[in-house]
Amino acid sequence: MAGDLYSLERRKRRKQQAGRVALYVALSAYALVILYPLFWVAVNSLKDNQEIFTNPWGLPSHPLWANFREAWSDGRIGMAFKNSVIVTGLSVVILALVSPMAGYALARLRFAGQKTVFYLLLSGMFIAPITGLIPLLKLLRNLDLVNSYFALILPNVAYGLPLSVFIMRSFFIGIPKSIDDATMVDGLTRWQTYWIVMLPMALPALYTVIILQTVYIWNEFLFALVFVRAPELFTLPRALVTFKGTFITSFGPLNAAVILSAIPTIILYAIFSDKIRRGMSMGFSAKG
Amino acid sequence: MFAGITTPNGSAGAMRSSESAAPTRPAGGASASKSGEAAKPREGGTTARTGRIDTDRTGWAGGPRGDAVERRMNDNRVAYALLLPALVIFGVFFVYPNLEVVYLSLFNWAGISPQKAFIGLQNYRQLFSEDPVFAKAILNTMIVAAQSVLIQIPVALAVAVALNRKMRGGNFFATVFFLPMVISLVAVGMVWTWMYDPTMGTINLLIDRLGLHSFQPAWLGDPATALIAVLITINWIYIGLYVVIFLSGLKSIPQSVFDSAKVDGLSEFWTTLKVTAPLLKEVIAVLVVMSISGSFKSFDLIWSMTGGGPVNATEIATTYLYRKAFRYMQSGYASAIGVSIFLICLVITVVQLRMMRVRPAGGGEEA
Repeated sequence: MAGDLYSLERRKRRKQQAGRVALYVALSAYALVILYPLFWVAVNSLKDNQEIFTNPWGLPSHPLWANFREAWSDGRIGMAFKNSVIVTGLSVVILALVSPMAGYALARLRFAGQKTVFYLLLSGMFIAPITGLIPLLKLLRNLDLVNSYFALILPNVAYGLPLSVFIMRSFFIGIPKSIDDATMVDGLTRWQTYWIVMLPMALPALYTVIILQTVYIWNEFLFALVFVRAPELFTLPRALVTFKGTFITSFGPLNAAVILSAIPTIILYAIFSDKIRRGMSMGFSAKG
Repeated sequence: MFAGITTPNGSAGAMRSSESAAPTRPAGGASASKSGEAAKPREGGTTARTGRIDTDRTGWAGGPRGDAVERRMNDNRVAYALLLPALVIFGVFFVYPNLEVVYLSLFNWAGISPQKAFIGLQNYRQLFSEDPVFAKAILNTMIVAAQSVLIQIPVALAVAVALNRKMRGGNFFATVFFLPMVISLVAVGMVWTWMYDPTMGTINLLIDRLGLHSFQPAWLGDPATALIAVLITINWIYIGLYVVIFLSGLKSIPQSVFDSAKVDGLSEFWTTLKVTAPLLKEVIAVLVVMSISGSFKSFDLIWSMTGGGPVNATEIATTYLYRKAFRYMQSGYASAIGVSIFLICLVITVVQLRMMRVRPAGGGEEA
């Protein structure tokens, strides 16, 4: 009897173990599906055209680093990289300055029109960027901003604001009110409280905003497609499209260009994977 | 829908199912949610003060005490100063264009030329009654949304349940699955276009190696398979995102729930279906809404893979808007498409939230 129970237990454990192995196999297969296309691009970026077609599975017989040089200069990826750094950098700096201020005001202060501001910003989370595209282009034309960095920076900031402000707002709501009260008892004004006490406390949330918006704006395409016509101002996603259109058969350099454009956000993700995952899943479920 | 936004610990990544959809309450929502937040114990216990602020929130003139009035005036000034830069940029580059688009949709307008002719609702009439391409685009958008709901959500839930068990490498897998989300959709689109290419891509080679020598579709080149190919890529990108969202929802379910299901002899499959999924009802509702409105927003990927072709096989609302505005120079008409996208999104969101009976749980203060 006891022996039966024992073997039953053992059989159960063995079954569990088999289940675990099956699970690992399934998850590894899925991971392979995710990683393979990226691996394939990386490998192809070091092959010449002929080898891409004749040796589709293998590693490059002799890595062709010239592909990267060609993408960087002939494909104007270097120029686009610089533009992406400028556009992303300036947009994120503005967002990092402006959204904590608004977030604090919405979280802590009571003022006339608060509800309106709240709902206006909220609407920014679910209205698709393409809805306002045509009037936005008209506006940028009237302001003579088309074909300048600001044609990308200002819309990116405007559309990045809602999420950034709400991230900051929810962080400020989580800070106990007693801290505000204590600083005001100490004689600080609201204004001083914000800059001296609250903003430094909110740095973790601010980092989330900065990292998240860097990824979003680095990858932004629609505004880059419509608001900038001069190739010297193209950001990376826009330059990729043009490069693909003009060098339609230089597969090696094209693959290299894809790698070059993706490396910065992949590095960022490698460092801050938790922050990015949490922030983006929050952002997406909010943006709807 | 706006899970995690109004929650105090939202920035700490909490996407708790109990707190999701907080600010979607109907009229009067802002004040209700504010009082709800104020009522939470973690707010520092100044209930008396916040109570006062909430009761006279219609304006500072109603303040019962002199110092309160002064404080409120001061608050007003500081608030506007803090909000000014954000509101100027947001007002000019978001609010204004999104209002003007409604106005522009009433015109016959080529976009570049200054002349435009007022034609009332003619654009809308044409759009909804005599534009088969638009109908096709809406249908395709719905297909994208439906497959997100029917494939991505169940698959992601299964993967998340698997990862939620304390297993070695769980974090590694989550990190890998989410990876496509940080790469630009244009780059992803290019990569997959090559993967599908019948001469250079490895997908058809793989199918051939598996023995299906006669099954060699042209994928993106064939109207019959193009949409399927795009959908596969969409799944490749977004399932990881859904997994991560489910994982944060699962973290809020106490382990004891799973344990007692096990004691009751429920298999993992039935536990997921009968216990876990109902507990994640609100997360699922968020994801359903997200899938639908997300498909009405997406542009980059399809534009870079097919541009909406071949023969409108992958045309969705946004790609059609783009082509109408910038290829056919019908900006008034395209504006009408933009307004339609907005309205469809709005209706779907409201209906969906009603259907799912997602209560705007804010913190248990619901009257």
